[in-house]
Amino acid sequence: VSGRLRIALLDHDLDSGTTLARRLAEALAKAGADAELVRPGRLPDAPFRLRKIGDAPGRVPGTLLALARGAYDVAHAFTAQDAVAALAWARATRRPVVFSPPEPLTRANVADRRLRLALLRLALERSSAVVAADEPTAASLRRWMAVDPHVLAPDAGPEHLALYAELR
Amino acid sequence: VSEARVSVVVAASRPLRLRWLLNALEEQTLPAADWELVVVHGFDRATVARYLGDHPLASGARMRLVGPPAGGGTPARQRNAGWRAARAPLVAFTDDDCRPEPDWLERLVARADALGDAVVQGATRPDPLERDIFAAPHVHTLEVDPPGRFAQTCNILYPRELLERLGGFDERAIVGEDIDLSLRAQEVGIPLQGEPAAVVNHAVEAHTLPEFIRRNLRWRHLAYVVARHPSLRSDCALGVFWKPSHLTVLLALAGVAGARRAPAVAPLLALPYLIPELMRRGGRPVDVAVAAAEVPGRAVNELAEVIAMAAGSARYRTLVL
Repeated sequence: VSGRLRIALLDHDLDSGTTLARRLAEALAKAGADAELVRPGRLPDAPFRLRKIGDAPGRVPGTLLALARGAYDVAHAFTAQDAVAALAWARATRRPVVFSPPEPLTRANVADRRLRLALLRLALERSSAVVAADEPTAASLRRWMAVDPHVLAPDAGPEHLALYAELR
Repeated sequence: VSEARVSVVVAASRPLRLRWLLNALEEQTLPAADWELVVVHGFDRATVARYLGDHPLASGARMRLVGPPAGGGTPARQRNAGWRAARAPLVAFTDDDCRPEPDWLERLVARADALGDAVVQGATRPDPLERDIFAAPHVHTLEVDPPGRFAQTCNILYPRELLERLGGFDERAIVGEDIDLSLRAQEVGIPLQGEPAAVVNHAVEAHTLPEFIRRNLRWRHLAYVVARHPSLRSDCALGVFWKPSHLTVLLALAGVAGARRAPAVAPLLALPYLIPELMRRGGRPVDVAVAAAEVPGRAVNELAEVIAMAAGSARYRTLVL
């Protein structure tokens, strides 16, 4: 099954070398999967930031376009805005979307920007599966969003593959 | 729990925000044995199981859930069902879109103990963790510097005996039931006292214009409370306008309507509305430009509110706009 799945990992941080997406990409590659780090281009979003809207909303069109071009079987998003873009793709293609929050949620970061809570709720409610990278992140999802996620470390390639296959 | 000093009563309609409130209540410094929580809700079983079932406050008897009261779940009915189910001599009300500071309950109860027979109102402020939401054009939140005239139930404490004596909230009031109860308490000689150190942070929520208008239309029922308490007119501009902006937006509208006949007068009529609107984000050119872009939508909302209150005035036979 792993050989046939094409997995899009929506990389959420172009500047950091240690993102969840990159660690997972390495683990999936070791497990023999066809996983691709997708780094969509972004539109200028300074006006959005000035008006305190979301996090990097300028990435949404690029993410959607990259997924539409890629013929992927599964999209794995690591930010709510990428997940929302992937959900739009999933509606058209009937493919699953997996969402992993990049860090534990806190009361301080869950609703402090315009649209942040709305996008997070969409990502958590509509994604085919929610995966927490560790137990603190999982606990924060339960505490603040009443969501009980799968807990899979980003280095657990075979376990992720099994989840993707189950969702397919 | 049966010897709790205070019961916290919450009328709930938003399960996620309610969970956040429970998280904040869990951190209260008042000893756990001294308080209980009564949540009145209309949620289905799945929602209760998801948002409330596994919460630490649900274990043991600290939190009790009360189903929707007969006749529907208006806030007045929910709060009446809540305090009637409460077992402590003091009843503190807050809302599911609030986040009390950890020492909130301790300070509110200490003030009530010191005062004896009194209604104690704490301070309410927009949640500092949600300040950025103010960048949206249509925002709902609440700020109360206690004691305030309107005695909002997001942060107020009543002696249970007083609630029984007054018969609780007037269930015919669809909005403003908290104002009505506070005024009736004052009529029987129980003062409203402030405790500014008992702080509740109120959610700051952005709405689309249609959502915002729909939300604000319910204020048409305020005329019922004004009809019952004519003293509230002292808070109204010219004794009629609940918000000064309702008066100024009508003046601006009159200016626009008469612009052809009296072009010199139109700007004068519009200025009392426009100046505070244009300056509400600050005096920098970018702030004024953003505020100017928001004026049309905000004016539509103000006019919708005035029309709704006119309809309420007709229904309850008293003029308040």
